[in-house]
Amino acid sequence: MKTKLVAIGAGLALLAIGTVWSNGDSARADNGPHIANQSVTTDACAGCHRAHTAQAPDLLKASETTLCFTCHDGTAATTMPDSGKTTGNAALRAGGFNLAYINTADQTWSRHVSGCAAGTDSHEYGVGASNVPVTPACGNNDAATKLLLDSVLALDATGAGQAVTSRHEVQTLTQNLGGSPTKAIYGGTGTLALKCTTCHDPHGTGGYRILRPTPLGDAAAGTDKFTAGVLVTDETPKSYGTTNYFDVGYVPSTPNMTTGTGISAWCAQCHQKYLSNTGAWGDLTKSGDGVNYMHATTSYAPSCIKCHAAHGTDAVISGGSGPAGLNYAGTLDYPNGDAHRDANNTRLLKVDNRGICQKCHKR
Amino acid sequence: MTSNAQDYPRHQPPHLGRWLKGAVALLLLFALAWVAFVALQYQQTGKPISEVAGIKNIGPLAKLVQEPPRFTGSVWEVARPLGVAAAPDGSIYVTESAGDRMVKSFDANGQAKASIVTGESALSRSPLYVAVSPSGKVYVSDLERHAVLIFAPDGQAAGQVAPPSSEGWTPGALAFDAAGNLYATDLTPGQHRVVVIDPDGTLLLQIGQEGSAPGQFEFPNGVAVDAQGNIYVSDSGNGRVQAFDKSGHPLFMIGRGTSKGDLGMPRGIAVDNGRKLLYVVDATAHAVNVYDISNAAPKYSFRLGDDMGGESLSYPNGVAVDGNGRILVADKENKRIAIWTN
Repeated sequence: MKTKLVAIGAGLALLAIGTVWSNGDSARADNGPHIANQSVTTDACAGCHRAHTAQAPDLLKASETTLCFTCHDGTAATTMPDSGKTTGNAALRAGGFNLAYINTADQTWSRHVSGCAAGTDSHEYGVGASNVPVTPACGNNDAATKLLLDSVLALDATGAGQAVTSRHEVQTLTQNLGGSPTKAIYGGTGTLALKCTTCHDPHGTGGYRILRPTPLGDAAAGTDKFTAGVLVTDETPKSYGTTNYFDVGYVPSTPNMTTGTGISAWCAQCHQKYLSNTGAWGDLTKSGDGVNYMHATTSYAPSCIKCHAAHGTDAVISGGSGPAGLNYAGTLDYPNGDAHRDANNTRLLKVDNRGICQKCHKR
Repeated sequence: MTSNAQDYPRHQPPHLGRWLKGAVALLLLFALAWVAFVALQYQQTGKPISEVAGIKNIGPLAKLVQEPPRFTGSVWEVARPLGVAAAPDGSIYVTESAGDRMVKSFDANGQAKASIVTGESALSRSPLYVAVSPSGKVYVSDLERHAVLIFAPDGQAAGQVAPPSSEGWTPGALAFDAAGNLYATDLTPGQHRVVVIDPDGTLLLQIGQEGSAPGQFEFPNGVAVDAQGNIYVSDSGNGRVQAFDKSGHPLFMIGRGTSKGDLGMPRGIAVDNGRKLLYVVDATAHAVNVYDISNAAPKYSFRLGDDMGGESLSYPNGVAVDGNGRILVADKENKRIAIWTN
């Protein structure tokens, strides 16, 4: 009798353990099919690949970007990067490739509070329609305060989106990577036809937004020489709330651009000219200016994605908003006499004109 | 004592053994003759025996194989179509996911009729799927509007379906039974499910929730109902089809894999009640799998669109069967409705 009871008890315990384990294995919570380290007996491969009947590279049936948008059009994924929002009508902070819901005319402030000791500074922000300034105490870098700049930029996306004014071109055009003449992987002339998978790994990385540690280059074009790799770590479990969005660029006391951590270091794998803020390389811009001083992206300084929307922005450069002759319409010639270019290019910025500067500097 | 076979007389009378040998020889002869006949027919016609005119309906052997329909053409001028539906009068309705994002309508011969618009501008509407009620009204789920909108056949707005829950919903796939009950999938984040709503708007049945366990769904992109009230759900994210009886009890599943009949990314789903066939669009296989559902266990029969010719599909999404047994497939990346005829 005792033996039977022990056996029944052990069976029930195993059943309970099995149930708990099974419930914890939620595919959707870990980003659907994009899960790193699938089991050896998974059937997930067949969702996208065909072993013997593929008609496109990587054992796919057709173009991979088309495959991505087969789900990411709202029919089988919550994020819709082309439309710039989620199926739940939340705006994507990265904007969109076609539409974006970024509140580029937002009037609230967010800036550092001056006078705080290193590592304890804070951000001032405005509240309400009249932007009554709120000044938190030094060291009050709680999530709500830190993230204000981002949270006010995301619109409720129940209305119609705005057409994007600049974007990372996917599939349709080649992207000039703007490499450094002296340090660039591509000698400053490289172009790369961007695909979704240039930046994202559809098989999952465990990192932020399944970003590839090393962007996917094109061997035929010679743009496959990334070497270092930056895994942008993420929270576990992934939540994609405002906190992890901040944390991927917020690396206190650590110069994340040069040590290879955080989102800014990841962006700099292509946008290498930004690495010139070491002051040692002496790279020149198109204008002929040296690039020895650029916005820091370390510690409490903003990361790239604080100011720029990775996919596309609906900001506008209307011009004429500054003093005469000092508008930001992109129509001023360069100091060395070169003609201006890309007039009204919004450079993926999240605020109209150069309002992104004012967001923090409040001048 | 030693064993000696001769000590044990045969239990089988000698005359029965001869009869058995004769019967086996006769059967072998018949089988040989049948194989020779089938081979001869194939050599002469180039078709399997089941497709040779005059032979296919002669007996039970021919009925073992369903004859695939023939590809008979396309309806063009649709921008990346997602959903397709057929009306009782043969009209075709198609939801567009690009361009002007309208619900295009065509008569049974493919001639364009008045389009239906589900929002003021292309940016404020995103029609997903479409179904036609037994009374001929057109129901369209719209991702931007988060609603099922109702239209008269001429495109005039006729209201919308009340959401099955007070928090609203994100309706996806749609289907009707003969009584006019609406079957809809709900793609609301965290609440993926199937609901059945009667013509008065009363919620009759709710099946499943979001997840990967049996009976749960991840982005159900297709729903169909047969004459017995059995419900077939295309569970896209989990790569499977789940079938339920009219009370929502599970019947069977067709899973993901790479063998014949397995699925990759199932999307649209439709039932041919006359032929008792289930059509399932596999978007990443660029094909439509067809299953015999005349018995309790589904049986894979054949596939549409799985060749490199004019009938090949590119990321197909929706499927419908009209009153004449024509199969309409929303061939998204080829920007057309591909049609097969029985």
